[in-house]
Amino acid sequence: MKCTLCIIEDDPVTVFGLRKLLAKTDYIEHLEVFEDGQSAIENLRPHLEKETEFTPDVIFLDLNMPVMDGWQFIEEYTAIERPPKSDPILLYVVSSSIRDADAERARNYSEVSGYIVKPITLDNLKEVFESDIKKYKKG
Amino acid sequence: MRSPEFSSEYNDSDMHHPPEGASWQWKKKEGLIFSRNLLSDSLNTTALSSLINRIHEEDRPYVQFVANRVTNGQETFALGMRILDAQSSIHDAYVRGQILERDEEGAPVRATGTLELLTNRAQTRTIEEFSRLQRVMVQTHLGFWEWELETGNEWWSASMYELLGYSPADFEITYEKWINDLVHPEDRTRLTAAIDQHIQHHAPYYCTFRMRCKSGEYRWFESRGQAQRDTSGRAVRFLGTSLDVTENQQSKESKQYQEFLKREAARLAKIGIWELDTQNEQVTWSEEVYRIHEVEPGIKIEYLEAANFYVEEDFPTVIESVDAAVNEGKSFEYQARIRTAKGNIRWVRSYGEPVANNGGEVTMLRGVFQDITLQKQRELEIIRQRDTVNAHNERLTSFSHIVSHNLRTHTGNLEMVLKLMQEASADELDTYYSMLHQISKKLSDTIGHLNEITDIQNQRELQLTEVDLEATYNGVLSTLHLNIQQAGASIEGHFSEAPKVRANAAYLESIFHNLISNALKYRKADVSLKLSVRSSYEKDRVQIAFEDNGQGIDLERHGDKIFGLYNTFHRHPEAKGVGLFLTRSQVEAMGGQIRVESVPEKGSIFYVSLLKTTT
Repeated sequence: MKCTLCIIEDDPVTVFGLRKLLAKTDYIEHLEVFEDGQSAIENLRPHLEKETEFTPDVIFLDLNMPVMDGWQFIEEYTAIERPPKSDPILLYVVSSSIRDADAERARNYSEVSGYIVKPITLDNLKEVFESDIKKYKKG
Repeated sequence: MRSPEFSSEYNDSDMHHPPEGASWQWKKKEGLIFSRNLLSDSLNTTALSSLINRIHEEDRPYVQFVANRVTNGQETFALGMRILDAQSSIHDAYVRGQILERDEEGAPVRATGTLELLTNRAQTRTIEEFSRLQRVMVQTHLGFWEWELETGNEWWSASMYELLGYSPADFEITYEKWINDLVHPEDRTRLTAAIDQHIQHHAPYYCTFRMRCKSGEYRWFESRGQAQRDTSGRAVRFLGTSLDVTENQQSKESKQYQEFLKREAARLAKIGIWELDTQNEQVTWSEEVYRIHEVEPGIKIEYLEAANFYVEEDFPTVIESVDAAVNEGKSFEYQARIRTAKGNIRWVRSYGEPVANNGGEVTMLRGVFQDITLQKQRELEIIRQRDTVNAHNERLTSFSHIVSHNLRTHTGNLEMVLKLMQEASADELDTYYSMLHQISKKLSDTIGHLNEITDIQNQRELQLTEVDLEATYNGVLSTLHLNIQQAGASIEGHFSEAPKVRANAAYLESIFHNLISNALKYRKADVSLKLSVRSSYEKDRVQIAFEDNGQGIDLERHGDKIFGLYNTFHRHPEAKGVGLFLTRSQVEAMGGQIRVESVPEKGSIFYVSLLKTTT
């Protein structure tokens, strides 16, 4: 199955690398990139409140961003009421931070599926799109 | 009565046959013969020892004592005793006697006398009173003693024995036994000196000393006595009382101990007591209050004098507290500073409450006064240390954040790009090189920030001098001249109110530069920037306010992060989240504070408060 992926990341180099990696795979049908939490939440909100063709299957979220950082995004995101029986969304925190405190804090949100330390590798992608997604998605 | 003074009542004319008694004669060889039978049996006996058995046990020691006296030369005697009849009923008797003849060695050979049975009311009452007295003596912890000075013979009342836990049968008391076995060794010298003073020099005899009880414990006795003297004034006999005062003594000791504890506790805790007579405005201080004020104890103090010890700033608090106590009956507690008589500043805590007379009018204030200088110093020291620790902690967190996050971002990107380059086609390489260029620039930026931050934070002894605000401001404006022109901004500086601060010139310049360029950077697109920089005195600080009409910041959302590291709130290409962090670090390094007020879309005011100049 092909997925809709949403990347929330302000660092162009990281986004560039991720695009390159994804190009080598066949996981993604639709890719959306936002440079900070604020524009992400504004754009995603309608697709979260209702199930649409742009509702993401997977979100990669950076922590350090201007205007609205990753933590604030998570707060706003978890407050949005999803339609009943909608497919779960896999939200990954993707950060350079190797501080345990950050990983710990991310795992405390039930909405967060995992914590990936940058740089993202092909193995990371494989785990997300081949194994994790099967656990959460029915189809 | 066995009381010795009765012996002096003896009179020859009494030597007749008493109505309820008999006369007696004693000869050494023939024994004791009574003129008639008493108590329905004969008391006549050849052996005096058998007569002793007819005397009540408790009375025997005194009888023995009088007998010894007679043996040793006393010619007449009279004493009361209880006699048992054949049925062991007790009868009170009064015996008088006179020695008629002695042998060469002075021992009595012949004597005569009377024995009265005390049957009538008056007599019985006397005896009853005596036995009551005996009981009372024990109950009141009182003992009688009598001491024959020449022989060293001594007599004790039964109560005297009982007070020590003995009975008269346990031992026969002598002066030697008393002073050597019973009196506490430490009290002997004092006691014998007191006796000597009385016997030789007629000083009143009064002495408090310890005696050992049968149980081994010592009890305190208060002893009083009077010597009987012969016509030449020589003391012949010494008699008196001893009162058990152990409990008094203990409570006296415990009272002294309590006093000692109170005094020492007050001294250690530096707590004193004060009173203010509201009628004559006279103040009474305990010793400790004088000591806290460094004033000679005992000097008279009036209310206003006392109040004037307080430093100017705290004086009104004191006066208001006292006024409210007098006029409204309110108790008070305040902490304030005094300047002692020696000019030292001390922190004190004073608690006071009004005392009203029957009419409800406050006539006195009373309270507690404590020197809390040391606590205050410690408190301030703890606050200072806590702030230092917090600041250090924050810096460590920022530092570890930079190392764990920002440096890693760049090295991670470097790793990734290099990996991608391995598989890249020739025409893609240019893109990758420009990317590597970007990464390397960001890397050196981050290391630069790291440097700046550690520089500020390692500056232990920052040079603080008197810095002119206007000059600093003008210097910064000239370096930003182009940006200001470009933005079409109008900037004003007002420094006449507080022209100078105590600061580090380089830091102050950096702070001005940062805050003014921030205002330029985050101005509103459609409105030309207006910025005013104004200095003023706020308490013991100089406050510089930077007020703009720019984009503003949503403080409800970002309030706690605005001065944090790598937190940016605008989608501005130059927003790096370092500037305000550095500004705050610099302000704090100079002992100052920075805070912000802001309304989104209206503008911001940054307040920087710094130290006043010392002059």
